[in-house]
Amino acid sequence: MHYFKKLFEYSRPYLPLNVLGLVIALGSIGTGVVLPIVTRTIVDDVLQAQQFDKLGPLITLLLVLAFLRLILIYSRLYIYEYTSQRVVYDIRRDLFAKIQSQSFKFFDKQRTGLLMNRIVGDLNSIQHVLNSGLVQLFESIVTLIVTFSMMFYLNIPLTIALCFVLPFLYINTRSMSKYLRPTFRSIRESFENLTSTVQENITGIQVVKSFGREETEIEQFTEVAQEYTDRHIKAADIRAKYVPFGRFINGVGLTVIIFVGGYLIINHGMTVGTLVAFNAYLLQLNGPINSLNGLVNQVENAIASMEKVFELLDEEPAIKDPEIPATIQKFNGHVKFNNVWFTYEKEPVLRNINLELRPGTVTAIMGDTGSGKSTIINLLARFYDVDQGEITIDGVNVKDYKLDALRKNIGIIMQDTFLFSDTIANNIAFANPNATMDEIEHAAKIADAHDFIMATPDKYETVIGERGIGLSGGQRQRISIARAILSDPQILVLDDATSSVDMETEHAIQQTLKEIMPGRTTLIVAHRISTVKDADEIIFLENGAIVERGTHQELMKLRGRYYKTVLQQYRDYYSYFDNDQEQKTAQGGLMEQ
Amino acid sequence: MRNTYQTDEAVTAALNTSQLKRLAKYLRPYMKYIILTITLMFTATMIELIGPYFIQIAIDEYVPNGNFRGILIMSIVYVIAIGIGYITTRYKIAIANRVGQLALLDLRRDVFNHTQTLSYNYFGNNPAGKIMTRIVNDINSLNRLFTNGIVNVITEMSMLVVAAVLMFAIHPQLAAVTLTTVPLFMVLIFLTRNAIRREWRQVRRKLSNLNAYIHENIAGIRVIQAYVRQNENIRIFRGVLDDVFTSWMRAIRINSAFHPSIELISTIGNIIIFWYGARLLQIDGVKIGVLISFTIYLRRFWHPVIMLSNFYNQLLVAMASSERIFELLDTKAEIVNEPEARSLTNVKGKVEFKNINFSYDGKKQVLKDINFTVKPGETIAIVGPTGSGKTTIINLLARFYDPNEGQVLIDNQDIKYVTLESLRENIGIMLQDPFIFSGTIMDNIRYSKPGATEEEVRDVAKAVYAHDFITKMENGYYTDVQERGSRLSVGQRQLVCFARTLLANPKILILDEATASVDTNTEVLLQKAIDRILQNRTSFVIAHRLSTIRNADRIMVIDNGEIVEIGTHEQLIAKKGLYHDLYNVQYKYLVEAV
Repeated sequence: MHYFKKLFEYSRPYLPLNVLGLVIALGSIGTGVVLPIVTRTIVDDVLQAQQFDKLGPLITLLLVLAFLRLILIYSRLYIYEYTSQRVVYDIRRDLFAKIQSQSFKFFDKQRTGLLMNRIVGDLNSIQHVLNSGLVQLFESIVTLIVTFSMMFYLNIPLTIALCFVLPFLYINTRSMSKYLRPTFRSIRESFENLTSTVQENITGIQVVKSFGREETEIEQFTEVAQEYTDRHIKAADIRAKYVPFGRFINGVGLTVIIFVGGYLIINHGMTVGTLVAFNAYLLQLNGPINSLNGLVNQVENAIASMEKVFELLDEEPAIKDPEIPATIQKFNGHVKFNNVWFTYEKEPVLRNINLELRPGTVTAIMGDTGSGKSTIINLLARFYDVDQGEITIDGVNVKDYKLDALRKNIGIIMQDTFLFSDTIANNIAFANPNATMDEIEHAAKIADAHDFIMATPDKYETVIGERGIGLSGGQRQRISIARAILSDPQILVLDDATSSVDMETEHAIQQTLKEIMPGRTTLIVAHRISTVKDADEIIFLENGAIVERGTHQELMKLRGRYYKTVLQQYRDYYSYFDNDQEQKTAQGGLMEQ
Repeated sequence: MRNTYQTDEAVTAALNTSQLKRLAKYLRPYMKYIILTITLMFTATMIELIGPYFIQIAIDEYVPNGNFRGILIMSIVYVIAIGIGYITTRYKIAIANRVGQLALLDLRRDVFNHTQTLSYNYFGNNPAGKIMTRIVNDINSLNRLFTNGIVNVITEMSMLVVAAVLMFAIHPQLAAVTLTTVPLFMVLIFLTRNAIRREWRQVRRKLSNLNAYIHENIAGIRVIQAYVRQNENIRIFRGVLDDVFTSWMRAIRINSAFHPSIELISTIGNIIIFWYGARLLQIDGVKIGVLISFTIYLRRFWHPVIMLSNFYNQLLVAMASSERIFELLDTKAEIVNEPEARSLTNVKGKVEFKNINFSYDGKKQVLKDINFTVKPGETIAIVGPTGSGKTTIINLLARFYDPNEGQVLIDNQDIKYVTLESLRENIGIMLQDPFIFSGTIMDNIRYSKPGATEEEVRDVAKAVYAHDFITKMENGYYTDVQERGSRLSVGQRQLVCFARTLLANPKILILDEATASVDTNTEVLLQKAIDRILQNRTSFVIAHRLSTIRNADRIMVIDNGEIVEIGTHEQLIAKKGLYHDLYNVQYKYLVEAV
């Protein structure tokens, strides 16, 4: 019921239209009730009584009513389609916005295919109910009441006789509903499995193909698709049991009319016209009763969807804007981490991190794979919240900034490059859709991407595939660097952003960055010594804790992890020569520093 | 042309009978059952048609004569009849649904199987959301057509014929006059047919765009949030939604008129019965029961017409979907087994590129006249600036693309004439973009060799130094890493992918910047492992890091799609060419570092 209330709230703006639709629906029901009466009059007063002069006006009336009915039914169909589509439009928009506002933690757990089903499939089944369902429910009930009243009005004993039959229709529908509900739920689940399986297969197709695992994928898909099919068949079996039983009861109703009606005509002077009208009314009852059957399916379906949709709409993002946000709009970029702890699952990923990034300085983070480097960045941009301690920018806790303001001031070039299926220009202008072509080209030049872009068929207007299929890893990285540059952030973060770029290009990019970055705060995560050596401070992470910190010179003197890394990278280089003497000289040189 | 969420997919195939035939092909295996359901349905329908006849007899014979016994017997017979009707309808629904669902399953399987054979190009050019829409949603929209459509059409048609025949049998003249309403119906169909089809097609396209946009927004959410694009994206999303809404309402505008129009035509038929019947009563002495049964038969006549026109609508909607499904099924897989393809067995590992020219888009030449030979067991490092064509060489070697000119040979066999399965079984590729499936780490490593024991998986994980971090996770090898491996850092993902590649134990190994995001410490350890791993295998290594190139037997320098130098490290240094320059640049940065 809670969900129906929510649904009602979404319908409220279209209430006047809905009411109009209802009035029109009542009108069309009215015509449905009057038409058999006219027919009855024709049969009893014209045909039976041989009063053929009355036929003309009555037929005209019938024709007018039929036309009116056409117009009323059409308007009703259109109005309800319109309002239900609008409601779904609104929910879909809100749902989309809600999903967009969720924190990373949410996306860590949710499967893409499943979320897509919420926005698309689930809402479609809600739309069905809103459109035909609720109106039909209303119409059916009204039709039932009106038709019954008419029947009572025409002939009480015959109506009472019918009352012994019709309750079975209700019982029948109720039992069907009871069995269908869990089945629909299971169909929905297996549909989500199906979507997720297809989604993952398509996004991972490169891996599938390179290992020649198509067969396994097909097997897995078939299994999921088979289950989906089986559940549909199960639902059909339930319907097969109950739907025709409704029709059977209806047939019994017809027999009652003929049997009791025949008796009444013979012994109590009921007219033939009344019997004909009763038959027409029974047929009219057929409509609502059948649609009640169908409706049960739909409503069951929609309730299952509604639960999921509104559950998602109700899910508050774990990371939200503060109630009273700090007023600063443009940052200076003075970042501080004070005793920060963070845990994803069980093991702490960051342990007591203390950092200070000053405007105009470059800080570099090094460390083993999985030592927590990217986590520091995720916390800075508040993609996750710290467990203990605090992060401040310009003396204000990041939790006190509006999320938009915070993230607009931080430009992150992520490790895992994601590009959109759109033109190169639009991908670069992602953060700033109003950027001019000059600005886009300027950013591309800084990222050393301009030349290769100009070599693509349509230059900046070249459409690149999802995830940038068709570009090399280095090219993708450079487009995402251009994207960050164009966003003009006060704090620039490069998360292993140049790992697929050769050293020369990387060096060129760094030089240009340095020129355009005076006064800004830069944070670099990297593995190459050449990338980090000029940083004002180098942090070495191990297992989530800072084990070394200082400038290149200081860390070299320390002869710890950093020193070892330098040595390793340096040694790599020298081993090319296979020249012990030279290698020793080089190492000696290192020792002396 | 690449497809984005804003591009409406142009489907060129017209509504033709061949498309219907293709759909019908999926029902053929179930012919036996379809005939059974039609028989069942037919029985049920016949029973339903007895009703009006009973009413006619009751009104014209039993009631005027006061024959209550006759009415009683008739009622009992009728109830028995509809009881049989119930049973037949019940099995009809159950069987028809089973047939429809199984046929859909077959179709879905065919479509999915086909997508698995499609080449890289297809996936590069079409957003994942759109491909998904075809496999999942478009096929679902055929549901009704398959489960009820065909069976209903046949039974409704026969019901239509029977009702007409009965009417003619009772009173031919009245029947002829009554059925003059049929041409009205024909006009209605003719007027709306094209418009309805066109509009539904548009609806399906817009829905596909919607799916594509949603998919990309969820997949790329991290970037979107980092760049605070939510509001802009919501704005775009509304545009996409507007398109869906508008196209939907346009289709509905026409569609909604259909049903009530038929009801109107039906009432006009009734009016004709009364009007003409009134005359017949006066002149012919036709009994009133005949007229009443006629009105009921006419209803029974229009009922199938309504059902048929519903079916016709379903068909139009389904066509819009099936066009899209068949278009996907008809997309030729560019890379397929040649008819005379043999399987590649006992691979020694000799690799040869002969006069290779290649372009992705037919415009920009990516590889120009590439020639080289690699001896079995040799390790070749491919070096060159970003975008110079390194990954393309690998794409051709694994036959993800075919060269425009020239041949790729393994053990002197042109790989074009080798089965794809055997080729890729022998080649292990560690891709640039480390893709992790949802599931456990164990599943992910085992992906390349599903029969592998736990022991084997552990061994390869140890070999690539992934074992340590894996065992540190809460469930070790059985830790769920979630979609795209979001639980792991990029470096960790690379290690898992490396283990996966290694588990397949390929004869030819390709490492495409396989360890770019792995830290130096692990990298150094890994390097030692790689030396061992590369033994007895032909390997291609692409990397920017010198450490990774260190142990290559030969180095191939690519620039702008051409091989500019090839030789050992010493030879190339001595040559003082591009490699020497690249090397010196790196040297410079290293020295600067120290």
